[in-house]
Amino acid sequence: MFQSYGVHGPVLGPVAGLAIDIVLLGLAFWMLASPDMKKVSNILTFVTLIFGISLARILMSPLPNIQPVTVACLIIGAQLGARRGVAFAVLVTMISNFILGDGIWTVYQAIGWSTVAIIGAQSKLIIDSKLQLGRLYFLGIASAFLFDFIASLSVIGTVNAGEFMTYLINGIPYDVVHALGNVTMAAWFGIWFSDVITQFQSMEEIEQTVVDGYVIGS
Amino acid sequence: MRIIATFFAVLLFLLAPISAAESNDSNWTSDLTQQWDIDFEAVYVSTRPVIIDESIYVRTSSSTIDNGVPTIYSLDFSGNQQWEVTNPNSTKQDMSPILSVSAGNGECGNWPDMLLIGWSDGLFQALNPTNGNVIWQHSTEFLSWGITGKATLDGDSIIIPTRTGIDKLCLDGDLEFSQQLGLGWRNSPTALNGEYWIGDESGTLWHVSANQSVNSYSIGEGKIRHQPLIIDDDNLLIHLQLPSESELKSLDTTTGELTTVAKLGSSPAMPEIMNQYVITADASYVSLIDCLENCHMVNQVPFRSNGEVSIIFDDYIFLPHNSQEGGYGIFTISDEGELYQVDTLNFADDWYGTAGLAGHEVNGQKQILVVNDNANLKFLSTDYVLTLESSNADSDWATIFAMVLALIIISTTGIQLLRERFQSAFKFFILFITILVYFSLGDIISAWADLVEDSDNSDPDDAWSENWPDKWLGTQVVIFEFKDGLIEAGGYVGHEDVLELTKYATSEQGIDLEISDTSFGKYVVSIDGKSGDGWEYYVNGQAGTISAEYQSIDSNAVVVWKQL
Repeated sequence: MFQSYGVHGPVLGPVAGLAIDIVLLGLAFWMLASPDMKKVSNILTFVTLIFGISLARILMSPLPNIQPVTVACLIIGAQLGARRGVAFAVLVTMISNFILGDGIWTVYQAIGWSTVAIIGAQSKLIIDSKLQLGRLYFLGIASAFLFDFIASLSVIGTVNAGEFMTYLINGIPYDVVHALGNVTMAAWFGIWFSDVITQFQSMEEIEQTVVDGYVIGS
Repeated sequence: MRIIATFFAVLLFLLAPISAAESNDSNWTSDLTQQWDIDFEAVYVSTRPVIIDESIYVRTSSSTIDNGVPTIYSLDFSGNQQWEVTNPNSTKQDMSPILSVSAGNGECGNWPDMLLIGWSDGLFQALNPTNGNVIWQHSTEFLSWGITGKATLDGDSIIIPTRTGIDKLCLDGDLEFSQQLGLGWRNSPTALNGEYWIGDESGTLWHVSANQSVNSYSIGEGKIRHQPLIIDDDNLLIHLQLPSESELKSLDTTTGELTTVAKLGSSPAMPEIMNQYVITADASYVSLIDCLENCHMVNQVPFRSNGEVSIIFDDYIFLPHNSQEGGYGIFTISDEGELYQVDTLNFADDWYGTAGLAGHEVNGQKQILVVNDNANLKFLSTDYVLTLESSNADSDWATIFAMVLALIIISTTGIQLLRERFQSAFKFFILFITILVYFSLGDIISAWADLVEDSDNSDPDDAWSENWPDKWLGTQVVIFEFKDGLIEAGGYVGHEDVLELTKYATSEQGIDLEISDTSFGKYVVSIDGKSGDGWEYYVNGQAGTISAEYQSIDSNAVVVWKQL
């Protein structure tokens, strides 16, 4: 199974691949089309985050199932909300998979990390502008198993139920490594990453204040 | 003042073994210190351990399954078990010594490194010394017991002392012939000029010629329970066991003339040749026989030994004292050509014993392995400090760097804990754990896969094809199923995982193999330049569920690669 389905499922033909890419891009841009995402500087910062994390994922791909995207999705979901979290998850998945390999699994990975971003948005990870590290560790562990399960669903239809269970069980060591990687990532970069996004938010707020002041003043 | 005194006391303590070793180089037996021991519990050990490269092999024996299952153990030099192979059917005193064979080839076939094991239920197995996997096996006759004697190597063949005669096998496992002779016990064949000689329980010495014709010589009304010794091209020496004594006899194989060399004590040990001498022992004496010309007795030293005679480090003869007091006698031959006892070795748990010893010398340090009927294996050495994993061939700079890094990280964890910076300590600790898991992931995944997979459903026979040559039986086979063809290759041995076997097979067949790295392990992209929709592997008919590099295989696995 591992061999025949790449890592997560069968490779797609060019037309099917294009269709999926269009759908995913459409979803990402729809999510980004929110009222507070119109400033060029905001978009540039957001794009930088996306490319930065995509690059980190590509660079870490030789390491077994170390996924910097998962913790990033949790924090971005918590800081910027579910919509931007989902957009971030979809775009990071697509961009990194251009290099790492595209296939039906891209959809499932995008769904998996979008789910993680939504969980991050709903989990009160930021209280009084402070990242709750303990909660992030817990969610990092839980998200690893959840994401890996969702990504594994990509092989459904090509294997029977028994084989799918074997596939899941054999994947447990990888899930554990993913969880461990998430905790490590959260411990080392969680606060720093959260601060970067907070600054990004603060800039937005300052700009908004200036704009509001200008409008009121005039 | 107290600190200085303590310092010098510690220094003295540390230097003491070095000075002792220097001053006692000629009397090394008194420098032997026990490094470790292993109690195999209710079983017993009747034959000597074997040292091959970096591994120790020892076999246990049992007369009833309640006492324990007869087992072959592989250990490292720290006493850690590497693998074990059991045979619950073999409960009739397993005393056939472990034989080691290096990889080679001959007119009758080729073979890998092997351990050759004869079991008392008649089974004869060739095991992979690295993992204990069965390379091939052969069943011999079982009448109350099966194989109890030592098999003999003869060029590219192995001569097995069966219960009722001898079987000659090529070292690739193919039977060359089977010859019915007399009933034997702890007997062993001797190969001389392409012909074979073996004694039996009725005192008959059997001769099997190259064309398999058989004749026999009656040595006396007793039992021959050892390998006949070759004195020269024409003469054999046999120690015949009689009811209350024994006789050492010389047989001229050309004339059939039988000469009594000496009358000796009861229950003789298995004699050994040491240069021009023969060392033999019995319930009363150890005897030195000089066979430079006509064999004759030189002298005797009182000692009771009835089992294996071990000659180690060229000059030293070790004999197990087969009594309740136990222990070992150490003998040597003086410059004047006389046998004398150098020393004795005794331990707190001494008991009856017949197993010989294994000796090994590394950088001037002598190491010996002793074991008795109590099945307590002891590792002793002269001035030896265990250097764990110091010679591990797998060590490389990346591993060393990672270990140093891990050491720094865990030390930092400790420092941060002491400084009560718990969050920082956690950061370093989790990093340490991640690095640790990263470096052990291959083993973890393999172990996990072995644990969760139902090995009962995986039978090489299910995947075996009648079209394959018989010589592939019991070996590793690889099949490449292309969309437009098939390549079959077999006869491989010793490969531990699917990828290793595949790499070897493709290399040997001249097939290109393209592999990529993924975070889930190595991924076979194409075979012979063909990628299709991917490649799937099966082991004994079961689809692989993990990377081929982590999928361990048995010595007789059938691996099929299918192009999708």
